Parts: sequence; C-alpha cells; structure tokens
Amino acid sequence: MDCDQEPIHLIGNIQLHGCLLVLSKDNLSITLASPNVFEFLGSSKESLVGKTYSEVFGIENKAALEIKVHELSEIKLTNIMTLKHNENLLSGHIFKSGEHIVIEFEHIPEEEPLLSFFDFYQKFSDSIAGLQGAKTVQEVCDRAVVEVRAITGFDRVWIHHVTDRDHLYVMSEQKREDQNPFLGMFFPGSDIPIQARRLYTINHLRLITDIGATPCELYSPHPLDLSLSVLRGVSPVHIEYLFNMGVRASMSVSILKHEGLWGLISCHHDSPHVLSYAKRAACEFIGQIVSLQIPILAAREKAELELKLRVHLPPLIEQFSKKQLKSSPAFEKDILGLVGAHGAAVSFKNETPLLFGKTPKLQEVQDLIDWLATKTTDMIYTTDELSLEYSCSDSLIKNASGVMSISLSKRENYIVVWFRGEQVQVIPWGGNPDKAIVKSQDGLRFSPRKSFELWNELVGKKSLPWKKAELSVAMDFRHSLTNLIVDRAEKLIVINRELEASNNELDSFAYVASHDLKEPIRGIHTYATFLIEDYREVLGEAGLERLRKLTALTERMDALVNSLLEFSRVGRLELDKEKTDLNFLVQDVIETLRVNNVVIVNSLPTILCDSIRVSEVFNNLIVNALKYNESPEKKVSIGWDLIDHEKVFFVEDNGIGIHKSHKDLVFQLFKRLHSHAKYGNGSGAGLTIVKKIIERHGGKINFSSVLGKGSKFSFTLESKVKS
Amino acid sequence: MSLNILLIEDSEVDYELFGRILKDIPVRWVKSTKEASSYLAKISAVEFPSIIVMDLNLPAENGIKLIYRLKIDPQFKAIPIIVLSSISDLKEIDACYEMGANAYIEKTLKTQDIALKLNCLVDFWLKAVHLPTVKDLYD
Repeated sequence: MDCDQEPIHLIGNIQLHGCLLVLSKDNLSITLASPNVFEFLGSSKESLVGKTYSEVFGIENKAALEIKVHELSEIKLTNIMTLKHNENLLSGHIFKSGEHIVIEFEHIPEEEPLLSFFDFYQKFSDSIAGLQGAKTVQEVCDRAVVEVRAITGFDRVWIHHVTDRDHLYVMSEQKREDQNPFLGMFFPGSDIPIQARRLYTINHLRLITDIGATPCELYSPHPLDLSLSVLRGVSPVHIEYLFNMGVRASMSVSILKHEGLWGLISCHHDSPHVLSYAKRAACEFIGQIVSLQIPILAAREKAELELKLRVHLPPLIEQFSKKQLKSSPAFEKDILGLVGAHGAAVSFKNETPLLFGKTPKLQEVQDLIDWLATKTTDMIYTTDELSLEYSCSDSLIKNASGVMSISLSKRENYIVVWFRGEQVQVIPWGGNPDKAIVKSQDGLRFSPRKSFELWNELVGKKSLPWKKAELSVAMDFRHSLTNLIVDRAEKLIVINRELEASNNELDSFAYVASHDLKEPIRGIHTYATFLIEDYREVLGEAGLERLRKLTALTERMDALVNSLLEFSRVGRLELDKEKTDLNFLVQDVIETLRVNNVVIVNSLPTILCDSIRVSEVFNNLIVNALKYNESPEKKVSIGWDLIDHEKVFFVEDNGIGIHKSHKDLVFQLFKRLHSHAKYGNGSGAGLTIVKKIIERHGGKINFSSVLGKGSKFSFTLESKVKS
Repeated sequence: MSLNILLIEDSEVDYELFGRILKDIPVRWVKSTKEASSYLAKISAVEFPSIIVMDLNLPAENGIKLIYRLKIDPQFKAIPIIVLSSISDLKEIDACYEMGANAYIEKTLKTQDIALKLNCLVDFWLKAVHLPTVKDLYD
C-alpha cells in the first residue's frame, strides 16, 4: 500500500499515555472502552461497557459532559474537561466520531495542573510577547523553537517549512549539543504524506510518546475515525521512519497558512517522552501564534522588498514614456534593479529588441520573445527553469534559466523580458530524496529510507526563484506603462481625427474654390478673345500680342484649377474596387495614348482595385516616362515583382532621370522641376494625383533614378498584410 | 414653325459667345430656372423652343432640378435638353442624363473649342435630327 493511501485515521489502536471511552450519542451509554482503562479510571473494561455515563461518573459529571458535547461545533471540533474519579485527577478530551462521542482520559500530574485562562496567560505572556516582537518569518520561527523546547524538554525542536516545490526545508532548530544538525537541510515532501497533512490541518498537535511501546488495540466492532484523537496509534511506516532516524518519541505542532500546512514544529526525543495536556496546549498555542504571525511578517518582508525595488519605478516609467528608449548606465541599473534581474530585453513591434545587462545572444532573444508572445497571455509569465518548457541551448541556460516577461501591448507586440542567469545550487538533503520511500523486498509494502545522512544534490538549469515582491512591482510597472500606452493611443486617435477633419475641409475647400474659379477664368479668356476678334485694328500687333499672352495665362490657370479639382476629387472619391486584370488595363492605357514604345515585361496579375483610377496612375507614369525623355529610342518597361509577399509594380524609363536633390519635390502638388517651355506643358499635379490614388488603395510609391539614365517608379496597390 | 433655342445661362459673356457662334439662329435668353419656367408657362405651344440649351450652375436653383421638372411634364418632355456646363465631374454628368437630359457638352476654356462644339450641336440637333412635333404630342 502506498503511504499516501494508508487510512491512518482508522488505525484501530491507541498509544498508552491515555485511555479511551466510546459513548453512544443519544443516551451516553458506554459502547467501548480501551483495554488499559483500569490504569486511569480504576474500573475494568468489562465493568464499564454497557453502563451509562451517569452510572459510572454520577449525574453531575454527566450534566457537565452534556454541556461540553453541546459546545462542539464545526469550529470547535474538540473540547476538554477535568474529572476526578477514584482519586485519579484526569483530563478528558472529547470529540465526535460518527454516531459516537469519544472521550480520551489522561492523568493530570500534580505539578502541571490544567491552567485557567489567566494563569495560562500569566505563565506564557513572555513567550507570546517574544513571538510577537519578531521582525521576520525567520525570527518568529527561531523564537518558537526556543520556547517549545523550553516548555517540553525535547532533545531536538525544529521547524520545517513546506516550500513551493513541496520540499520540507528546515528553517530553525534547537538541539542537544551532541546531535547532528538538520538546520538548512531539505526533506522530501513525501515525508509528510497527504492524509497526514489533512490530519495536521484539523488536529494541530500530534504526540507520539514511545514508538517502542506496543499499542493498545481497541477491538472496535466498527472502524472508528480517530482523526481528532490525541491518543491515536502510529502507523507502522511512520514508526519505521522515526526508528531509522533514531527517534523514540516525537511531537508535531501544525503551522497553518490559508487553511493549508505551512510547516511543522517538530520535536524529537531519543527516549520515550510523555507530555501533559497543559504543556501540549501551550505548544499548540505557540503554533497558533506562529501561524498568525507568518502571513503578517511575510507581507511585511514583501512590502519592505517592494519598497526597495520600487525606487526604480519612477525613472523607468519616465524613460518608457519617451518616444525612444535610450540605453544608459542609469537606465540599465533601473530596469535590472526593478526585479533583481541580470539582463533585460525590450521588444517593440518588429524592431530589433533592445538588450540590457547579461542576456542571451540577440537571435536567441528574438526567438524567445516570439515564443513568450504566445505564452504571456496572463499579463505576466515567469519561470525559474526555462528548460522545462523551452528547448534551451547552453547559452540560454546560462543566461536565461530565469525568465519573467510582461506584455505591454499585444497589438504593438510590446514586450519586456527579464533574465536571470543559472544558479547552480547545492541542496543538502536529509537522506537521498530519490530513495525517500523504497519498496520492501517482498514488493508488497513501502519502507522509509534507512539513512538520513546528508546527501548533497547539485541542481542546475535553474535560477533563483522570482519573489512575490518582484512579481508585484513588475505588475505595477506593467500597469503604469499600459496606462501610458492607452493615453498615447487615445491622443493619437484624437490627432488623427482632427487631421482627417482638416484634410476633408481642405479637400472641399479646394473643390469649391477651384470650381468657382473656373467661371471667371472662362470670362477673362472669352473677353480677351472678343477683344482680339473685334479690335484687331485698334490694338495693333503689340496689343494683340499681350492679349494672346493673357489668354495663354488663363489657359494655364485653367489647367491648374482642373488639376486641383481632380486632386481633391481623388481624395474625396469612394473607390470602386473590382477584380481587374492589369494586363488589359495597361494595354488599354497604351492604346489610348497611341504610343508604341511601351512594353509589359512580365504578365501582370489580376488584383482588386478601382480600374479607372489605376488607369490614371499608369497613364500619368507612362506620359511622364515619355515626356521627360531625350533618348533617341524612348523606352518604357512595365512589370511587377513579388517582394516580401507584396506585389510591387514598376514603370521604368530611359529618360532624363531625377536629380537627388529633387527627390522630395517629385510628389509635391504643382511642383514642376523644369520650365514650361521644356518637356511640354503640365500643371505639376500628375504625380501628386498618382500618389494619392495609390495611397487611397493602401499602397505606397517611390522611385529610384540615375541622372541621365532613367527612372523607375515602383508602387503597390494593396495595404501590406502581415503574413 | 421656325427653329429657335431657349438658352438658360446666367453668364453674360457666355451668352454673347453663344450668340456670336450661332449667329442667325433665334435665341431666347433667360438667366435662371425661375425665369425659364415662367417663360415656358406663358408661351403657346407653337412658340415652344426647338431645343433647350442650359447651364447647370445657375443662381438660386441648380439647373438639374429644372431638367427633372421639364422631363416629367407631358407638355415639355419631348423637347431636347442639351446641358452646356463647365462641370467635368463624371457623377454630375451622369446625374443630368438620369434626369433626362439629351446631351451634355463640357464648356472648355478655349473659344475655338467651344465654337467647334456648338457648331456640332447646331448641325446635329437643328439640322440632322427630325425634332418631335411638340403640338401633336400636346394635343
């Protein structure tokens, strides 16, 4: 049978330092008495069974018992009373077990009477004050073992704490000079099996007076639940365990935290050791004070550490609120100091992550961040043994066994990661933990290990664990930064909205203005024409020439206004997108232009676009390619390439090229780089309109050019989709 | 029944240009849709214009509304309406046709261009085409 499954609460025997009576609930008649009952009550087992409680102890004691039983509740599981019977002064420990009432009687030694509340307080007030004055968890444990040893006189008193990894860590110890220390050692969690832990949480003190004594069998006709018993017999496996350790008597006092077992005050004695109910009550009380103190002190320690770490928070947030993170010794100190890390990385969008302190190699960090992005779903992810979840190179183990990461913005892929290097630790075990329990030779039962000799385990691939305080400052950091990001995003939305509104206004202004300008321009032009026709003689050649210049100017003005109109129309227009075979589209444009020096170099794809507008794009680019071209054989090539999953179209010519210094002017509205006489007329709006159409499609345009050799305009017509 | 044109045009210079190009064709000139409506209301069927040439950007009311009113009126719906406007927006041009306009001519800047277009207009609508007999329709 596995240790975790042994029903130790149904063991069916008791230890010898007390006797036990089982009473039926309804009439308090005695249904069972332990065989050793004579030693305590002066009456034989046979003379008791079948009698009622009042028949044996008198009507007054029956009334007293009834009150005590009545007081039992879900919170108060057991009760205590004193009783004098046949000259024996006894303590009675009362609890319910199924349909029965159980009373366990023990002698009260004359020198250790059960104390009243005030006497108890008087006697232990110094101990309590000492425990309350402790500043740390360690200190309260150290003081508790001193107090318990002073009260009980056990050879060795020690506290072991059940760690997060379910090891039993010996935090404090008081012992006889000649004994080997346990202090600082680890015991495997299996040393306290699951069902024993359950008993420790409901029955806070467990005394084993002598493992060498033969227990007193109860011979109960039905299984008797002794979970709440103080006399319960000891499981054979546990006896073997204590025996192997060289222990004859032991006592354990529970230290509880949030209903669970935080640890035990364990007491060992080389020889049998009986302890009065009063002393045990005092130890139990100490255990309760320690239980109360631990969460308070742990919270205080966490708060103190947090306070230290928090110093780094304001300068960090200030740095992160800036547009660009700047690496500096002070910044590195803050970002690492915040959570006590050796290295850190900040990743934003698809940019190369910034590294600080001791980190793995850049490529490894990038891969790790990709993985962490999927992992950091709950705002924060931590591990002190990365290799358990992620395949690690030696360099990763060395520099990043400990990882903590917080996601600041999913959308922007904004992640901060901290690294802790590997910390190879020696864990001093009390005996080889892999052989904590071994199968007996017959293979039918398990035995505890024989040796509790120091057994050092070397633990690698692990960093020091992340403390709660470090986690909570990291969360605070995340909280502050996400607020910052939200603020920033909101501001951006407002700015964009204003920009859009003012753009729309500008567009409508341009539209209305240009429209209204057309009429007067027409008027001027027509009147000038009338003048030329009607007053030819009067005006003379000089006058006529000026009027012709006037009409030419109105023509230019008209062209500008038309371009402006067209430009604003492109901005306002709803795109009418449909599947379009660009081969046909470009062919149409070429035919309409009646040019024969344009070649489509590779078959163009079919895309979703506004065909009228995209025709304008090709039309404009082809016209420009031929217009600004002095080659004897003008040539325009049109084609496309797939670059980074994007269809990039190009219109390439062997024209005059564009000077580097004009790079930024090319797409400006009404910007012409050459005089009107040269390269024909144009309003200078063509490329601006081209750019606007492309941008309305979600694409981008740019160009490369070699002066005197030609230009190549490249553009996309779809918004970039992340593959 | 002689050929005549009703010109709805608020610009004086354009009216003059129109007159110069069309020379001997009688033109009745009004400057707004309101004026046009009241003119059409008071004339007898024999005096109905052969065609209507109209601008869109007119004071008080846009010309497109007049097109609609005339084209749903059994009395006038047969009279061809030719829009002559500087608007080049495709949507507005389509809207004119949708209301029932018979043709749309863009007023471009150059006088020669307009002259060419107007001459075509006259050649087609007043010379080539057999216009409806308005009286018959009305009776």
